[in-house]
Amino acid sequence: MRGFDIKDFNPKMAFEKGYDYFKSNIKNLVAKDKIGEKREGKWVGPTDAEIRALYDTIIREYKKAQKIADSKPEATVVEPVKTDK
Amino acid sequence: MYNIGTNDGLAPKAPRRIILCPTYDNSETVNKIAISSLVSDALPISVLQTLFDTWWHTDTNNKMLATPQISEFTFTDSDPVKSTSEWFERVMQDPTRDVGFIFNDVTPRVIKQLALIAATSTAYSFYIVTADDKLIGKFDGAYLVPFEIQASSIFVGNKALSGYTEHAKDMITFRLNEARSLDDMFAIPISGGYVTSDDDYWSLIDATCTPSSYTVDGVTLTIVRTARNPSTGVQDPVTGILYTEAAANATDDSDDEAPAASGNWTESSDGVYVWSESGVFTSAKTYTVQISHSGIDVASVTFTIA
Repeated sequence: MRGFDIKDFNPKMAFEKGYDYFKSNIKNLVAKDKIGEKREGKWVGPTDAEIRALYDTIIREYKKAQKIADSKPEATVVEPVKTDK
Repeated sequence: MYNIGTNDGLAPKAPRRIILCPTYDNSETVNKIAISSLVSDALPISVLQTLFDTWWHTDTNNKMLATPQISEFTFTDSDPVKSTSEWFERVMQDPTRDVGFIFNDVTPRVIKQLALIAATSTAYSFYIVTADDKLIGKFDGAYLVPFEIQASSIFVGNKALSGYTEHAKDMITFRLNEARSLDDMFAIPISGGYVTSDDDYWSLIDATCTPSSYTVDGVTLTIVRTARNPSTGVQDPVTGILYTEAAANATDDSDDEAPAASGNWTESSDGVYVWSESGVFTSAKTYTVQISHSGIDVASVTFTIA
């Protein structure tokens, strides 16, 4: 994917900093010609959809490796029924 | 991990190195090998490397010192050299004998350092590394600990000179402090290193890191060897550190950072690393640089973002 590889990213930081940081970091790197692909003299980075897919893959692998469960279902809280007396 | 005492089918090969270290003391942790540091029932060589001292360090009392390779192992009463586990049993049963380890053609400074250890008042102990890459020591439940050497029993001869046809044989001899139950002797396989490799049995190389140009958007780190190259008189740069080997942790534990991508970390020239990442650091925080590069021990250093 346009000069990007999953091994170019630190999964722990991606997990801790979240998608917005991950995306803006990639945009910055492409702007600085640090990452991406050069086409006709111009650096081309991945599309937003590609960044999202890459991020999701990294996080999925990281969670698997760290044995982090996906968000747990909320516990159902049963409110006591108030009865007017 | 194997118990030699019960002879459970494992016959350790002849010793190929000894690792000298100050005698085990409950208050010291430097010369104990935590069983918890084993990976897949083997001790990674990197665990030992962090404990090794450099040769001709001014203070020989703090760390372990792995000897050059041993060519022969002998008793002082001219017994034949033992190549199987028999030698353990012989020596351990009869601690009143001196045991000798012969090195071929070692440098004068190796002999000098061994002599320094022999002369020190600090009590010394040793581990053995066998030809089949096993570390032998005593098992005390949570740790592998070294065998004690009898006080003032270490003897190091003068540097021998090699002849036309023979190697110079330099020898260190010492005597065990006391007979130890064979049940306490354990052998742990060593992974990731070979006893025949001098590189593997060398200590980590000390390096110095100097941060500069630090802002919230990154830092420049210049990493050089602490010791000057004796040939050139300069401090050689430490090259090849990857983005995954660098981190900076806030001293107040509030913020741990590492380069988010390979593109955030560039070696701009040999040993000069530019970590450029928008908004990675926080103003007014102090960060400690953490570099974990194989074979290198980078001294701790901090920088504070304005």
